Amino acid sequence: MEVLGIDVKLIIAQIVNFAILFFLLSKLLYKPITGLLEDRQTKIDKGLKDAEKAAKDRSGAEIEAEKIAEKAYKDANEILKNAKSEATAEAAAIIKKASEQADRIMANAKSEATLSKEKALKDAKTEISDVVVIALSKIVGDELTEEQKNKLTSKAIMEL
Amino acid sequence: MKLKPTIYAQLLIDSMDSKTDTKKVAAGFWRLLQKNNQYKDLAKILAEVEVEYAKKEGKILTKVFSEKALNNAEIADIENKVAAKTGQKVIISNIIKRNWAGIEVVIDDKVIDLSAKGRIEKLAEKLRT
Repeated sequence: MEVLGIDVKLIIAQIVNFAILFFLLSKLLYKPITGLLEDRQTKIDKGLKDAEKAAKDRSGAEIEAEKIAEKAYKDANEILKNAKSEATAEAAAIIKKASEQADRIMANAKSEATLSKEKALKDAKTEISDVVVIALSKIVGDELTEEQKNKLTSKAIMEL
Repeated sequence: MKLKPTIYAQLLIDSMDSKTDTKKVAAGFWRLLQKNNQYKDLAKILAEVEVEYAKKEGKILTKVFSEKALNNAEIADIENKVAAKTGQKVIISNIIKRNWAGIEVVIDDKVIDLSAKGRIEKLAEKLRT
Protein backbone atom coordinates (compact mmCIF):
# COMPACT_ATOMS: atom_id res chain seq x y z
CA MET A 1 0.00 0.00 0.00
CA GLU A 2 2.74 2.25 0.83
CA VAL A 3 3.95 1.63 -2.71
CA LEU A 4 0.84 3.12 -3.99
CA GLY A 5 1.36 6.03 -1.65
CA ILE A 6 -1.64 5.12 0.48
CA ASP A 7 -1.15 5.59 4.14
CA VAL A 8 -3.25 2.89 5.70
CA LYS A 9 -3.00 4.35 9.07
CA LEU A 10 -4.15 7.65 7.79
CA ILE A 11 -7.04 6.03 5.99
CA ILE A 12 -8.02 4.13 9.10
CA ALA A 13 -7.72 7.29 11.12
CA GLN A 14 -9.86 9.08 8.57
CA ILE A 15 -12.38 6.25 8.57
CA VAL A 16 -12.47 6.40 12.36
CA ASN A 17 -12.78 10.14 12.16
CA PHE A 18 -15.52 9.83 9.62
CA ALA A 19 -17.28 7.23 11.70
CA ILE A 20 -17.01 9.44 14.74
CA LEU A 21 -18.15 12.42 12.69
CA PHE A 22 -21.00 10.40 11.17
CA PHE A 23 -21.98 9.13 14.55
CA LEU A 24 -21.91 12.58 16.03
CA LEU A 25 -23.68 14.20 13.08
CA SER A 26 -26.17 11.44 13.04
CA LYS A 27 -26.82 11.79 16.74
CA LEU A 28 -26.60 15.51 17.14
CA LEU A 29 -27.70 16.96 13.81
CA TYR A 30 -29.38 14.53 11.45
CA LYS A 31 -31.93 13.07 13.82
CA PRO A 32 -33.07 16.42 15.27
CA ILE A 33 -33.30 17.93 11.80
CA THR A 34 -35.12 14.88 10.49
CA GLY A 35 -37.44 14.99 13.49
CA LEU A 36 -37.91 18.69 12.95
CA LEU A 37 -38.70 18.15 9.31
CA GLU A 38 -41.06 15.32 10.10
CA ASP A 39 -42.82 17.49 12.64
CA ARG A 40 -43.01 20.27 10.15
CA GLN A 41 -44.33 17.88 7.49
CA THR A 42 -46.89 16.53 9.95
CA LYS A 43 -47.97 20.03 10.81
CA ILE A 44 -48.22 20.99 7.16
CA ASP A 45 -50.21 17.82 6.41
CA LYS A 46 -52.45 18.55 9.35
CA GLY A 47 -52.84 22.14 8.23
CA LEU A 48 -53.72 20.99 4.74
CA LYS A 49 -56.16 18.42 6.07
CA ASP A 50 -57.71 21.00 8.36
CA ALA A 51 -57.95 23.48 5.54
CA GLU A 52 -59.51 20.81 3.32
CA LYS A 53 -61.89 19.88 6.11
CA ALA A 54 -62.71 23.51 6.72
CA ALA A 55 -63.35 24.01 3.02
CA LYS A 56 -65.54 20.94 3.01
CA ASP A 57 -67.34 22.12 6.12
CA ARG A 58 -67.79 25.57 4.64
CA SER A 59 -69.15 24.06 1.48
CA GLY A 60 -71.52 21.89 3.56
CA ALA A 61 -72.54 24.91 5.59
CA GLU A 62 -73.20 26.88 2.45
CA ILE A 63 -75.35 24.07 1.07
CA GLU A 64 -77.12 23.79 4.42
CA ALA A 65 -77.57 27.55 4.48
CA GLU A 66 -78.99 27.41 0.97
CA LYS A 67 -81.32 24.62 2.01
CA ILE A 68 -82.40 26.58 5.07
CA ALA A 69 -82.89 29.70 3.02
CA GLU A 70 -84.88 27.77 0.43
CA LYS A 71 -87.01 26.17 3.15
CA ALA A 72 -87.52 29.55 4.79
CA TYR A 73 -88.56 30.99 1.45
CA LYS A 74 -90.97 28.11 0.90
CA ASP A 75 -92.34 28.45 4.44
CA ALA A 76 -92.73 32.19 4.01
CA ASN A 77 -94.50 31.62 0.72
CA GLU A 78 -96.75 29.05 2.33
CA ILE A 79 -97.53 31.38 5.23
CA LEU A 80 -98.22 34.22 2.84
CA LYS A 81 -100.42 31.99 0.73
CA ASN A 82 -102.32 30.76 3.79
CA ALA A 83 -102.64 34.27 5.15
CA LYS A 84 -103.96 35.46 1.79
CA SER A 85 -106.39 32.56 1.64
CA GLU A 86 -107.54 33.20 5.21
CA ALA A 87 -107.88 36.89 4.53
CA THR A 88 -109.94 36.16 1.43
CA ALA A 89 -112.16 33.74 3.35
CA GLU A 90 -112.53 36.22 6.19
CA ALA A 91 -113.36 39.01 3.78
CA ALA A 92 -115.95 36.78 2.11
CA ALA A 93 -117.44 35.93 5.52
CA ILE A 94 -117.57 39.61 6.49
CA ILE A 95 -119.24 40.50 3.18
CA LYS A 96 -121.70 37.63 3.62
CA LYS A 97 -122.49 38.68 7.19
CA ALA A 98 -122.91 42.30 6.15
CA SER A 99 -125.17 41.25 3.30
CA GLU A 100 -127.28 39.09 5.63
CA GLN A 101 -127.51 41.94 8.10
CA ALA A 102 -128.58 44.29 5.34
CA ASP A 103 -131.23 41.78 4.22
CA ARG A 104 -132.45 41.46 7.81
CA ILE A 105 -132.66 45.23 8.23
CA MET A 106 -134.54 45.51 4.94
CA ALA A 107 -136.93 42.71 5.93
CA ASN A 108 -137.52 44.31 9.33
CA ALA A 109 -138.08 47.68 7.73
CA LYS A 110 -140.53 46.14 5.26
CA SER A 111 -142.29 44.26 8.03
CA GLU A 112 -142.50 47.39 10.16
CA ALA A 113 -143.78 49.37 7.21
CA THR A 114 -146.41 46.71 6.51
CA LEU A 115 -147.43 46.59 10.16
CA SER A 116 -147.56 50.35 10.31
CA LYS A 117 -149.69 50.45 7.17
CA GLU A 118 -151.99 47.74 8.50
CA LYS A 119 -152.30 49.54 11.81
CA ALA A 120 -153.09 52.82 10.09
CA LEU A 121 -155.71 51.07 7.96
CA LYS A 122 -157.19 49.34 10.99
CA ASP A 123 -157.25 52.60 12.92
CA ALA A 124 -158.93 54.33 10.00
CA LYS A 125 -161.52 51.55 9.74
CA THR A 126 -162.20 51.68 13.47
CA GLU A 127 -162.52 55.45 13.33
CA ILE A 128 -164.88 55.30 10.36
CA SER A 129 -166.97 52.57 11.97
CA ASP A 130 -167.14 54.57 15.22
CA VAL A 131 -168.33 57.62 13.30
CA VAL A 132 -170.91 55.52 11.44
CA VAL A 133 -172.12 53.95 14.69
CA ILE A 134 -172.39 57.32 16.40
CA ALA A 135 -174.25 58.83 13.43
CA LEU A 136 -176.60 55.87 13.02
CA SER A 137 -177.17 55.60 16.76
CA LYS A 138 -178.06 59.24 16.89
CA ILE A 139 -180.48 58.88 13.98
CA VAL A 140 -182.05 55.59 15.12
CA GLY A 141 -182.03 56.34 18.84
CA ASP A 142 -183.31 59.86 18.78
CA GLU A 143 -184.92 60.51 15.44
CA LEU A 144 -187.11 57.41 14.92
CA THR A 145 -190.81 57.93 15.49
CA GLU A 146 -192.88 55.43 17.47
CA GLU A 147 -194.47 54.27 14.24
CA GLN A 148 -191.07 53.63 12.67
CA LYS A 149 -189.95 51.75 15.78
CA ASN A 150 -193.10 49.61 15.68
CA LYS A 151 -192.50 48.87 12.03
CA LEU A 152 -188.92 47.83 12.73
CA THR A 153 -190.08 45.57 15.56
CA SER A 154 -192.74 43.96 13.33
CA LYS A 155 -190.16 43.49 10.61
CA ALA A 156 -187.77 41.87 13.10
CA ILE A 157 -190.48 39.44 14.24
CA MET A 158 -191.17 38.58 10.62
CA GLU A 159 -187.48 37.94 10.00
CA LEU A 160 -187.21 35.57 12.99
CA MET B 1 -177.41 31.16 55.81
CA LYS B 2 -176.69 32.27 52.27
CA LEU B 3 -178.05 30.07 49.46
CA LYS B 4 -177.46 29.94 45.73
CA PRO B 5 -180.10 31.54 43.44
CA THR B 6 -180.86 28.10 41.92
CA ILE B 7 -181.78 26.77 45.39
CA TYR B 8 -184.09 29.72 46.02
CA ALA B 9 -185.63 29.24 42.57
CA GLN B 10 -186.29 25.57 43.22
CA LEU B 11 -187.73 26.42 46.64
CA LEU B 12 -190.07 29.04 45.16
CA ILE B 13 -191.30 26.73 42.39
CA ASP B 14 -191.95 23.95 44.91
CA SER B 15 -193.87 26.38 47.13
CA MET B 16 -195.97 27.53 44.17
CA ASP B 17 -196.86 23.92 43.45
CA SER B 18 -198.55 23.56 46.82
CA LYS B 19 -202.08 24.79 47.15
CA THR B 20 -201.10 27.70 49.42
CA ASP B 21 -201.94 31.33 48.69
CA THR B 22 -199.39 32.76 46.23
CA LYS B 23 -199.40 36.16 47.98
CA LYS B 24 -198.51 34.50 51.27
CA VAL B 25 -195.77 32.47 49.52
CA ALA B 26 -194.36 35.64 47.95
CA ALA B 27 -194.41 37.50 51.27
CA GLY B 28 -192.74 34.59 53.09
CA PHE B 29 -190.15 34.29 50.35
CA TRP B 30 -189.34 38.00 50.57
CA ARG B 31 -188.96 37.75 54.35
CA LEU B 32 -186.56 34.82 53.86
CA LEU B 33 -184.46 36.87 51.45
CA GLN B 34 -184.34 39.77 53.89
CA LYS B 35 -183.43 37.47 56.75
CA ASN B 36 -180.55 36.01 54.72
CA ASN B 37 -179.67 39.48 53.46
CA GLN B 38 -180.01 38.28 49.85
CA TYR B 39 -182.86 40.46 48.60
CA LYS B 40 -180.39 42.00 46.16
CA ASP B 41 -180.26 38.60 44.41
CA LEU B 42 -183.97 38.73 43.60
CA ALA B 43 -183.43 39.45 39.87
CA LYS B 44 -181.05 36.50 39.54
CA ILE B 45 -183.42 34.26 41.49
CA LEU B 46 -186.40 35.20 39.30
CA ALA B 47 -184.33 34.55 36.19
CA GLU B 48 -183.50 31.10 37.58
CA VAL B 49 -187.18 30.56 38.45
CA GLU B 50 -188.07 31.18 34.81
CA VAL B 51 -185.48 28.71 33.60
CA GLU B 52 -186.36 26.03 36.16
CA TYR B 53 -190.08 26.50 35.60
CA ALA B 54 -189.68 26.10 31.86
CA LYS B 55 -187.63 22.92 32.42
CA LYS B 56 -190.25 21.56 34.77
CA GLU B 57 -192.95 22.22 32.21
CA GLY B 58 -190.84 20.54 29.51
CA LYS B 59 -190.59 23.81 27.64
CA ILE B 60 -187.72 25.95 26.44
CA LEU B 61 -187.34 29.42 27.95
CA THR B 62 -186.98 32.14 25.34
CA LYS B 63 -186.05 35.65 26.41
CA VAL B 64 -187.19 38.39 24.08
CA PHE B 65 -185.63 41.83 24.64
CA SER B 66 -187.48 44.82 23.18
CA GLU B 67 -187.63 48.61 23.55
CA LYS B 68 -191.21 48.42 24.83
CA ALA B 69 -193.48 45.61 25.97
CA LEU B 70 -194.65 43.39 23.13
CA ASN B 71 -198.37 42.76 22.69
CA ASN B 72 -199.93 39.28 22.97
CA ALA B 73 -200.12 38.82 19.22
CA GLU B 74 -196.43 39.59 18.83
CA ILE B 75 -195.51 37.24 21.69
CA ALA B 76 -197.65 34.47 20.22
CA ASP B 77 -196.04 35.01 16.83
CA ILE B 78 -192.54 34.75 18.33
CA GLU B 79 -193.57 31.71 20.39
CA ASN B 80 -194.78 29.88 17.28
CA LYS B 81 -191.68 30.71 15.31
CA VAL B 82 -189.26 29.63 18.05
CA ALA B 83 -191.28 26.43 18.59
CA ALA B 84 -191.03 25.72 14.86
CA LYS B 85 -187.28 26.33 14.91
CA THR B 86 -186.50 24.25 18.01
CA GLY B 87 -189.22 21.65 17.78
CA GLN B 88 -190.00 22.25 21.46
CA LYS B 89 -192.72 24.01 23.41
CA VAL B 90 -191.72 27.55 24.35
CA ILE B 91 -192.16 29.95 27.23
CA ILE B 92 -191.58 33.58 26.27
CA SER B 93 -190.14 36.07 28.75
CA ASN B 94 -190.37 39.61 27.41
CA ILE B 95 -187.70 41.86 28.91
CA ILE B 96 -187.53 45.61 28.30
CA LYS B 97 -184.17 46.78 27.02
CA ARG B 98 -183.08 50.01 25.32
CA ASN B 99 -182.33 48.67 21.85
CA TRP B 100 -184.20 51.49 19.97
CA ALA B 101 -186.31 49.12 17.86
CA GLY B 102 -186.62 45.50 16.80
CA ILE B 103 -186.09 42.48 19.07
CA GLU B 104 -183.27 40.39 20.50
CA VAL B 105 -184.15 36.74 21.08
CA VAL B 106 -182.14 34.49 23.42
CA ILE B 107 -182.84 30.75 23.29
CA ASP B 108 -180.59 29.01 25.84
CA ASP B 109 -177.15 30.27 24.83
CA LYS B 110 -178.11 31.17 21.26
CA VAL B 111 -178.66 34.89 20.54
CA ILE B 112 -180.64 36.17 17.54
CA ASP B 113 -180.15 39.91 17.49
CA LEU B 114 -182.68 41.64 15.26
CA SER B 115 -182.65 44.94 17.12
CA ALA B 116 -181.71 48.24 15.49
CA LYS B 117 -178.84 48.56 17.97
CA GLY B 118 -177.61 45.06 17.17
CA ARG B 119 -177.80 45.69 13.43
CA ILE B 120 -175.75 48.88 13.78
CA GLU B 121 -173.17 47.06 15.89
CA LYS B 122 -172.95 44.30 13.26
CA LEU B 123 -172.45 46.94 10.58
CA ALA B 124 -169.71 48.58 12.66
CA GLU B 125 -168.01 45.20 13.10
CA LYS B 126 -168.08 44.63 9.33
CA LEU B 127 -166.57 48.07 8.77
CA ARG B 128 -163.77 47.33 11.23
CA THR B 129 -162.70 44.09 9.48
